[in-house]
Amino acid sequence: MPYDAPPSLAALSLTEIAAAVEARKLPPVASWRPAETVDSHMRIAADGTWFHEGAPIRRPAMVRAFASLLVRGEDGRHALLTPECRQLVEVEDAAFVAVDMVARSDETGPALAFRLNTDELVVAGPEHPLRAAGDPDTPALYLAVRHGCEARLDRSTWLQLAEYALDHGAGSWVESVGQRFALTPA
Amino acid sequence: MSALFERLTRLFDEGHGVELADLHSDFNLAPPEIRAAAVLIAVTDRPEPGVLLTHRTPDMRQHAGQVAFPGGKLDPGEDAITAALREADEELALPPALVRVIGASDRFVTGTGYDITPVLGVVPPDLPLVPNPSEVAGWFEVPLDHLFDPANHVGRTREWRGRTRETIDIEWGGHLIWGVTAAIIVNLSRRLAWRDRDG
Repeated sequence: MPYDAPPSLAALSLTEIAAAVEARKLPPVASWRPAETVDSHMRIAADGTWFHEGAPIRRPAMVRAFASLLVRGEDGRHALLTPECRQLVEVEDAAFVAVDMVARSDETGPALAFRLNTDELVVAGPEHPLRAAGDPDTPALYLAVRHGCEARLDRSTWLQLAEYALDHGAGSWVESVGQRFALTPA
Repeated sequence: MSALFERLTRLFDEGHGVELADLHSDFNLAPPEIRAAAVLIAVTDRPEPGVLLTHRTPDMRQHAGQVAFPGGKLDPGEDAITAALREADEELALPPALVRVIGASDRFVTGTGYDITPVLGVVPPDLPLVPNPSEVAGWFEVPLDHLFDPANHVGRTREWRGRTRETIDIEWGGHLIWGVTAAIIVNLSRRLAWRDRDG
């Protein structure tokens, strides 16, 4: 299986985005109940950079492999899950960063697709809600990715989203896959 | 603790505690200069475990286009386990931290002059592995049950450097596993007695 990074979001149709999301195979972390918990000595900085014992992990492929095992427990703590072990990871802000966005529409309505710093595509909707936090003047937008982990929209992606909201309504909310999401914190 | 890791560790320890006659090796064909190498036999931790194999890039100097385990030559001062993990990392972006090593198995000396130590380990399944295009064209996973079934180990006679020799072919899903890789699989399958479910 050779690895092909998805092409730039702007070039993709909604069908192609859906196919890319569908094709991504991930480790079945939800089926694992490891008894042991240890410290991974890893940290994910606010800009999405992974560190191991203070040194940045520079290879994107390595980050993608680790990110495929990420979960966030009900206690709010992030961890890498393997069948044997839960390895705690310190996360400064969110585990992922959304670095690009594109809006597409089909007969069912609009869909907002995001590209993450790990090359993955996520379509906002009931399974991947958008959440606005922070204060109303400088809101922080988060997208649910998987297993409790979120992606923080980086500044340019947030501006893309805000511009889209102004072009398609009042600017205070957006709709994707049949669900409305507020862009300012409640 | 993973049940697979425990079971493989038990079979590995039991299987390597005895003398086994007629393990495969091509040391009689090897040149006088022997170089140490290591490969990783990565078993995926899932209900039907698999083994990760790679396709070498077609233009590699040695073993071009062949099916192989991730692996390569030892760097100076390196042991076999470190080298196997490093090579799997370089070739597939398999993080060493995610490999639980069980141990090193029987060495295999190739006709091309490599003394290969196979290293057995368990890895999480379905990792997004990324082949390094300068070394590996792609990777695939073969069920351990299939690889270790003697019925799938087909003996062949091949001509190699003017000599007739016996080799083993293992076919799976359109892939042909032969030569050194097949011989290492057969040796390990004899050590592990994987298929004796009650054993």
